[in-house]
Amino acid sequence: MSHVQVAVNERAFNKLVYGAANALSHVAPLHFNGSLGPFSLDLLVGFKLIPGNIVDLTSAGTVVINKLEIVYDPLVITFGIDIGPVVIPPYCADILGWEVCTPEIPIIPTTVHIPVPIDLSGLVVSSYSGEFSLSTSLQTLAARAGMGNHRAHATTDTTNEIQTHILSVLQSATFISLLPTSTLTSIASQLAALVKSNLADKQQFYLHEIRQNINLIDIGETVKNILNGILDKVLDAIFGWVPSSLRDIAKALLEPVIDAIGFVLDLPSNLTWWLEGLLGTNLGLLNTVLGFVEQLLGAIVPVYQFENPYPVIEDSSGLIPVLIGVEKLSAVINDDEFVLSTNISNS
Amino acid sequence: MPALLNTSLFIHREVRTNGFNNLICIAHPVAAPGMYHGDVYLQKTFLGRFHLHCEANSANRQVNIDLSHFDPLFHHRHAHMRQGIPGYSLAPGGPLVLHATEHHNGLYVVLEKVKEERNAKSAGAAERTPVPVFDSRKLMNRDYVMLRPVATGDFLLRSEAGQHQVRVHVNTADEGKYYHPSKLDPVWLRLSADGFNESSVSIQPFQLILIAIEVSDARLEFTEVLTSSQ
Repeated sequence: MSHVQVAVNERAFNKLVYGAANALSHVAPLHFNGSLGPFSLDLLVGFKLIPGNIVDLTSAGTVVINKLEIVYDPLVITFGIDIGPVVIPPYCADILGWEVCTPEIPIIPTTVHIPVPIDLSGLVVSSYSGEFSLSTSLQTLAARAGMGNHRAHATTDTTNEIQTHILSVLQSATFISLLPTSTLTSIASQLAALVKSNLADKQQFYLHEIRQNINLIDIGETVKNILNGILDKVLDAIFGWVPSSLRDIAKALLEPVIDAIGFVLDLPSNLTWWLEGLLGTNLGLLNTVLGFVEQLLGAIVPVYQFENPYPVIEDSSGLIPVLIGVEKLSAVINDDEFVLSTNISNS
Repeated sequence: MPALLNTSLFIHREVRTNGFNNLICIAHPVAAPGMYHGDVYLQKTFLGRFHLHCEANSANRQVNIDLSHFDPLFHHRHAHMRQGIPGYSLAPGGPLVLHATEHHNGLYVVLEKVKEERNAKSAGAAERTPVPVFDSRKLMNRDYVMLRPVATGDFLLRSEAGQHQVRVHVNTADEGKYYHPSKLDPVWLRLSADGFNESSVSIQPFQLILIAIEVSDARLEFTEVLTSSQ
């Protein structure tokens, strides 16, 4: 029996962590629903991660992710509002010896739903930071049953075990579990494809969240201009056909409605905070992203995994691979490196 | 996306009481109890008939009749109207208010009171003889016309019979701002044998002009005064 130590420096470990977190970008765009005053909100959002040196290993044995930039693409927020019926109310006066009222004049005769999509795809970025501890565990698939090491190594995993595991993780996670079951099943299917390999036992390393936070990076002028134009888009939807010469008159008829919409869309000067509130509080997006990163790194996509027994020589010339058992594994993180220590034995 | 606004609101700029549109309502008090029927015409086309029962115990102190409802095309578009025109009931003295919500132009109503007379030849049987009591083309003393101009510009409100007139200036917005009609007090006018009580008025679009008719056989027209640039 021999003692082996493997060290991975911070730069290499950065690639491992980014690779695991990048599973987020493999999740198909998600739908979120919420509300803002009289508006219904519908959000279609997908994620892209910007590569960079995001990992800092600490002397406390933790992994810190610093300012991982997540670009929301697509990001389409649809403001929906039900308007109507709206009428010019009757005017009543004492004439002809008693009260007479003018008939109501219908301005918007029936309730109409107006959807106003705002496309901010690729224009909004958030910054994610978090601190994690490292754990290791052995994944043994039930499908392996009594299969020997060499056969398990050679057998592709075609089972649903990993997908079922991922689905159960998602279903038990705060915020994520609020997504529709069909969406969770779809996500589990997409992520399982990234993790599946063969039926051999795997030594896996996961990062467990200690603290994390996410916020929007200051949004650009383009986004501000688009957001400031929401009310105009709503009005365009209502008055699209009205000749410009009559448009101001038509606006006056809908003054109470427009005032109510304008009150809700009276955007503050700090639009980054407003959008963060909209995506975070009204739509629950930011908490869901936090939940995803936590579960991806903590239980779904290992930052690193290897087979145990480990194939030190692969089958390359018709011979069976050479597998060596890994025992007494320990993983330590220090300021500079991720260090694995183990004893190896013939398998 | 279908038009959200009632597109009919902005079609008409002018109106005449002898064939009106959605710019005006005509209120006619129905004083005598009894059975009435009203024939609705669009220009010279008969659109339909409504029945009105004027009775002391009626809870209705006003009846509004939307003449657009008599258009077969309106029935086609509005499923609830396929049931037909309902009968109406009105307390004596209450106004019958005629108006239109859609695009129609050239509407008028002839209201007849149905008198039941004993027929000497067939003992006990009653004969119904309609007697014209009101024609919206000839306004009567105590009728009211409620006018809501939509377009901006200069207009003349004229009484055809007496050649009396009021200049009506419908203002353009102050710095792009118009006011909701509910925030605008109506303008009151009176048409007597001496003419209108005002020579000119200035209003905002959709501001109500209430015109009391104090003469018989009156016809009003509201027409735009075109300037040389127009």
